[in-house]
Amino acid sequence: MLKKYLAGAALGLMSLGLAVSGAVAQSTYPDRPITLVVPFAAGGGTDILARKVADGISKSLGQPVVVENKPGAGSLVGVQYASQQKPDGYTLLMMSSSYVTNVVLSDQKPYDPATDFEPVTMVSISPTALVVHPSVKAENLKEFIDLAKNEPGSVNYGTFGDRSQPHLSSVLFGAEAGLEMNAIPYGGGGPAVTAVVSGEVDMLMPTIMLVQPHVESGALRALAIASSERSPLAPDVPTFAEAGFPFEMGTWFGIAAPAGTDAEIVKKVSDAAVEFLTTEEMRKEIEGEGSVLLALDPAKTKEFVLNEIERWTKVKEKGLF
Amino acid sequence: MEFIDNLALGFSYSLALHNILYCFIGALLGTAIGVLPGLGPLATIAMLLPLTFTLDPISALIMLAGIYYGAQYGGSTTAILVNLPGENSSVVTAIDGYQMARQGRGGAALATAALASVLAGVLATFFIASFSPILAQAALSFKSPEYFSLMIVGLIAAVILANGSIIKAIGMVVVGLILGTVGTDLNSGVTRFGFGLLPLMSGLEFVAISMGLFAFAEIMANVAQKSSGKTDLHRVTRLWPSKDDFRLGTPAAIRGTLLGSILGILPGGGAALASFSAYSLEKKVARDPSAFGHGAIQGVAGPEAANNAAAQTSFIPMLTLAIPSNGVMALMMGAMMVHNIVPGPMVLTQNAPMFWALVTSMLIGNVILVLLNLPLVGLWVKLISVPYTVLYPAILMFCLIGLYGIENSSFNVYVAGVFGLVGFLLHKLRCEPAPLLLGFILGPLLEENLRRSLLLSKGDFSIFVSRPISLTLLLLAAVLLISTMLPSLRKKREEAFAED
Repeated sequence: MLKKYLAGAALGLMSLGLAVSGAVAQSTYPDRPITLVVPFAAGGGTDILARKVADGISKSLGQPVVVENKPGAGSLVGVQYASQQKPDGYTLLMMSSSYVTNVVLSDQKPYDPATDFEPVTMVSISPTALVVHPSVKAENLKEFIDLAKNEPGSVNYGTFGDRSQPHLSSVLFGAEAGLEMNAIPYGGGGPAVTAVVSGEVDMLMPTIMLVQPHVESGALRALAIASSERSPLAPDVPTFAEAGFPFEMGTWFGIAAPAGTDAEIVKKVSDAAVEFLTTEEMRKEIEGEGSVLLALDPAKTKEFVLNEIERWTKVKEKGLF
Repeated sequence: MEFIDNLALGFSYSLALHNILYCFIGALLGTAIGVLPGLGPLATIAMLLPLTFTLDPISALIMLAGIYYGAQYGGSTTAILVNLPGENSSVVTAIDGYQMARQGRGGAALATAALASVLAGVLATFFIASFSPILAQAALSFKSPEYFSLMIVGLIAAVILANGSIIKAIGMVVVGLILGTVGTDLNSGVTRFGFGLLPLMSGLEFVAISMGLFAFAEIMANVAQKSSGKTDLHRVTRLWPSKDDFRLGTPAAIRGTLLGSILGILPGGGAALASFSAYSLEKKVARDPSAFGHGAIQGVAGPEAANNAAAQTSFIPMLTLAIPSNGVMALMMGAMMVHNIVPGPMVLTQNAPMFWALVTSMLIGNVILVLLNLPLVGLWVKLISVPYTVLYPAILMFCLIGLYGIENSSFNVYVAGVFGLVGFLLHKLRCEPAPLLLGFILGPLLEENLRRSLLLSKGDFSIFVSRPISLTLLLLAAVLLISTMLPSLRKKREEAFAED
């Protein structure tokens, strides 16, 4: 009896000690450099954005935020690595859309996007545009849908490889509009854009930034943009909804921390990021790239990620991939 | 006028201070490794690849190119002064250059080599500048079927460029092709040869393979060999060549440049073949062939001009047609692809600044090399006496850091280690690793374009022969293939490489 009591007391003391040390950790966080894991190679789009955000958070938190590039297996390597780090707030992850689609649409599940991370902040989203080669006989989205419907299988669209963002966008849009089109994979954004400019494929659904110069020069015709509002980069291009077929799609970027990271710490990082992202300078920069600033708090970020998971789970269940 | 506009565009990049610096670093490193026997540009470029990831592509390529043509310079210094050619392209330079040094004309030989090289460098640059746009005309008509046929030509060229047995070269290409299939399939998203390892899903890392096959294997092969280490150094007295030297050397240098420029473009060409051919040519056209082997200035000027010209023009097929004519070019091509620049006819239109910056940087690099080499000859020669017990561990250390840095993981270190052993084994079996690397680089492009063409044609194979450019390329491939089978040509090829 006494033994049991003593053991209980010891346990209580221990947990008290843990709680105290936890509180200390929160109030002093951060007292050493923070690592932001980027699951893509240095120099790419995600990396460049991550470095800007890291810089901004670091100024507000007063500790360096070091970007660590862990590329491989289309971001699986880096995300899995981040999920295995201590949830002490000193390891953060730069998420992008593939954080969800890579595992939801695949049979390989090295991590669970819903439970292995605490969402911190949603940074921005780059909406997808639908562009066609000028020889395609469709001046607007409606004509394009009619064309693809009347001649099933006649439209070839480019992708950056299986389950890349343009592939996902095209499949989803095709399924919702009831179109039958052929995916032609290319080794990346550069070759795919070249292919649609040269007319080897008819259609491509990349982020607007990638094709904006070609749209401006007339080498490509942009039929619609998959966001709720028009893009300042291409103000003449209607949204899908305006063009008569509501459809929203884009590549998003956000920050997450390994599951179990203290809620106080998550809030601290999120506040720092939001403060930095909502400065006029950063907003202009993000919009200048054709993206939409989100700057969401942890709760809304969680909602966003869960929504994405739900959306793609449904797609998977439909057997589209 | 377009010619001048192009060069002006190029100079506006290559004359930027940081790019001059990278050009200088490349030329400096190139000279250093050129001087050191047993460490070539192939190994050095393989080692430096990870460093270039963070550079902008223009600077990276300027530096890597500097290493290649810089090595041609450095190699001749030791060939002349100590009869120890640092590169196989300077083997012939040693024949007459060393004799000149023994006669006390070492300085003149060095200056001749440098001046001939710079002359060739300048002329070859203009050659590239006027020749490349012609190829680029065809750029827009290049679609998937044309690329497929082009890759076929490239792979057959890879077999021809290999030293030694054709069967072995074909074997190496096939191994390279198989290695290239590792990773996620672009069309279906299925992982091939992944063995459940997550890092293999994105395929084998090009840098790890080339560092293993070239840098690690080369060091192992050198350690396995006993180095002589005995050097017989001749003092350099007077640097400037005499009037007679100029009279005989200048036409030789011009002939060498022309020959080298042409041989550089051909698959299997490159610096070594060019210098050998130039030497034979000089011997044939000379009034007094008996002077050769006893310090004939033409025997230095001709080959030195030729190897430098060839080193530069070998960029043409790589940049414009994605056909690397030798191992170094294959590495350069890989370096470009790391930066998302796919070599081929589109480079000239889509990456015009990069192309012209690279071409014009060769001019700048040649000037840097002369300034670097002539006054500092004494210093370079001292480099030979650095013991390999110090040099090799330092190089390996450097490699390991680079390998870890590619993906911040040790996986690539293991990959390079395995390929180091493979490379050593291939060396012992007298199998050239260069065709393997070409297969590895071209394989995925070949497959991608083949499957894409068939998707576009809905499975109709005639798409490859109904398009004129594609058909021409396939016919060219057939001719190349048949030519390797012909006994007479085969013999010639063996002779050419036997001199290597």
